[in-house]
Amino acid sequence: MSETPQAAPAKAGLAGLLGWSRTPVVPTIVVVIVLALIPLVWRNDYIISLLVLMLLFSLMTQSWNLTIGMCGIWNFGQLAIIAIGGYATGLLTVKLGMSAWLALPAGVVAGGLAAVIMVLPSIRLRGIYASMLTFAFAEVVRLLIIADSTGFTGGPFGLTGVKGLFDFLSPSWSLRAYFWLTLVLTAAVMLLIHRMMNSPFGMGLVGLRETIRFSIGMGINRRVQFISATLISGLIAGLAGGLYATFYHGITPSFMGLGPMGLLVIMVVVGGLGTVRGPIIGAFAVTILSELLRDTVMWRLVVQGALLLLVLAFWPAGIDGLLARSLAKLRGWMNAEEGGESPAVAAASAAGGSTVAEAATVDAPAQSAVQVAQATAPPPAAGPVNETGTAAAAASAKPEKKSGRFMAWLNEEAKKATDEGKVKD
Amino acid sequence: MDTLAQAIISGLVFGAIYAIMTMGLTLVYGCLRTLNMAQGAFGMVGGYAAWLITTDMGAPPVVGLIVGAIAAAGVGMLTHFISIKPLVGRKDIDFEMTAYISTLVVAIIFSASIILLFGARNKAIEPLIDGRLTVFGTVTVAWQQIAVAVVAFLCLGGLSLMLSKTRQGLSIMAVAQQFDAAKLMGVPAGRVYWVTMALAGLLGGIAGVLLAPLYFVSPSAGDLPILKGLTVAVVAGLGSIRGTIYAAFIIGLIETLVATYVGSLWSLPVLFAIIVVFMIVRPYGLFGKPEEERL
Repeated sequence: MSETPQAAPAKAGLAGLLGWSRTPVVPTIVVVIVLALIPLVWRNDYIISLLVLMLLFSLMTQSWNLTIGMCGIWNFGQLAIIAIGGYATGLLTVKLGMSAWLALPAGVVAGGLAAVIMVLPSIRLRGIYASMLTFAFAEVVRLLIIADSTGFTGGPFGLTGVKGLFDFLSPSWSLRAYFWLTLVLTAAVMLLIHRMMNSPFGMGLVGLRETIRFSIGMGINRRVQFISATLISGLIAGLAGGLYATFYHGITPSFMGLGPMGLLVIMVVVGGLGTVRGPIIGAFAVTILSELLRDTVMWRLVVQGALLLLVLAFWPAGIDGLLARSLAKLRGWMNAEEGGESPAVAAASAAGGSTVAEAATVDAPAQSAVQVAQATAPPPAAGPVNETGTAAAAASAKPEKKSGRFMAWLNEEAKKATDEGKVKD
Repeated sequence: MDTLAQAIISGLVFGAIYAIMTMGLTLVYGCLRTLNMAQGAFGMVGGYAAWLITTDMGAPPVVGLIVGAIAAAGVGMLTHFISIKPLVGRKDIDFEMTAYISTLVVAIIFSASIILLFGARNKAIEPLIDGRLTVFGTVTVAWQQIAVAVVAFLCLGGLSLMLSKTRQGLSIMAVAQQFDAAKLMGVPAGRVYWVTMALAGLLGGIAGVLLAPLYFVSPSAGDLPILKGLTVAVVAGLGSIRGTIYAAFIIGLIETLVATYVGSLWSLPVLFAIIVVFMIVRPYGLFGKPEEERL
């Protein structure tokens, strides 16, 4: 790659061509500020604690979605990672008397390490075997904590007396401080994951998920990719667990097991497996639903389960997929009214980089990238390309199956590389 | 010595129960490529049906076994129609993972519904036969254990006869071995699917009723059996019928030996730790084929 003055704009153009959307920093900050005003306006402690719980669930589902949704690693032991983060934080404050502010980072690190240890042996296993291994790991953690009668972890009754992060504040202000902290952290994690998924690293993950052999053949290092993604997922999980333990001043082994795992699965799948916003939407939707059904605890599980079956049967992309699809339709309809352009142009140019909502799903970059790649005869680095023009031309190409499109994109790139007689990047 | 003999006997009995339990998982995985997480719930439903018919209505335990098995078979079919059938043949989803998730959720729905119907309290259930048989010295065997072993072997024998001799059984095997060829030969795959699920329900129900007197009948009674069943299935190599039987007895023996000599709280952690090590050493199970995928 030559270091000409053109390099910077060319790079930006390439990202646009590949359909990587810019990280929506400003809109997210606006949303966070608006949400942060809630506790000042709506002075209901119960509602605020519920919001904190939803945000904690969002962090947990986000961390899980990173491995199970984005990478396609059959990781069914994520609750153990979250619990390890929580227990590490809790034990440090209870046994060593550390400040919660020091213990929380330690919990984060513990979560990351535990995730890597758990996933390392399961990388070479295929689907169901990997799920069994991770699940067995989680069960070992849970049963060891339950079997512990020395009093170190509190055994089946759980660890109590964990210090909070905001113990120096009054209870209701501590609650609000937790709300603001978790809100900021959730937004930051979302931005981080969005940034990550719109980078070569993230595209590698999507590639490994969709066509694993081909991606390896293309030179994507599966182990490095999976381990890095797992590490990040584990760090987020440790953070969620540590926050959970300090917020509730304790953690119990009943936090793990089949039932809670089912709840998190419902959240991730209902929201949208493998999307950036999906886990957050799912955590909020499912928690609100269970609050509405608060009086009938058991109906709650039945209703949530039925909801998941419905989502799987009718909208496998979850609520997020549904939203993205209807948004694209709406935008296409509006543009068609206005300028007489075809609806697909709008969708393609939106995915091209400017709009937040459109390209936040992981699929969007992949498909627009393929469309662009299919239509661009000259290699992207050759010169300034009219983005909208190529995208419009690309949009006329009929979208095929997801993996088929991805294969086409990969093929295109490989062919181009050989045509030029050099290997890109 | 006596403790060892006692442990081995109960290990073999548990192995027999795990074998019929896991056989359901194996058949479903072989045929539908679904890891059926609701298999434990089938046993739980079977246990409740048996409890309802024996303790509540006073029928003899053998009737309870039959009714429990039939009820579980019905639940197996229901599971197929609500959670697996809508996903079969769809191109926009990863079938194996989606089916895994949907059957897991079906299991949760079943146990929540059972709580709604019967409450969360444990129910005790009468064993098939009371009393114990003295083998030698202090080693005794409960007649229930003998009955369990007999029923389990009858089930396994009947299953192998069915799979090798009857039309239904052969079509199940055909679909499991070569889906496309089976379909081209005119095997009705749709019917094979629900028949397999009903069969899995039947086996799970029998295992559930047999396990019920040893533990209790409770809404979460399916959780432990499904964990053990998964362990057995993975050690055996998913979809391998021969491996399932060997692995069931190995797991049953390990579990009771650890429970006897180390402590019952430790039997599951030790078991899972062994599984973790085992899967690192032999990632495809005892009899699994080291193939990447069969699609």
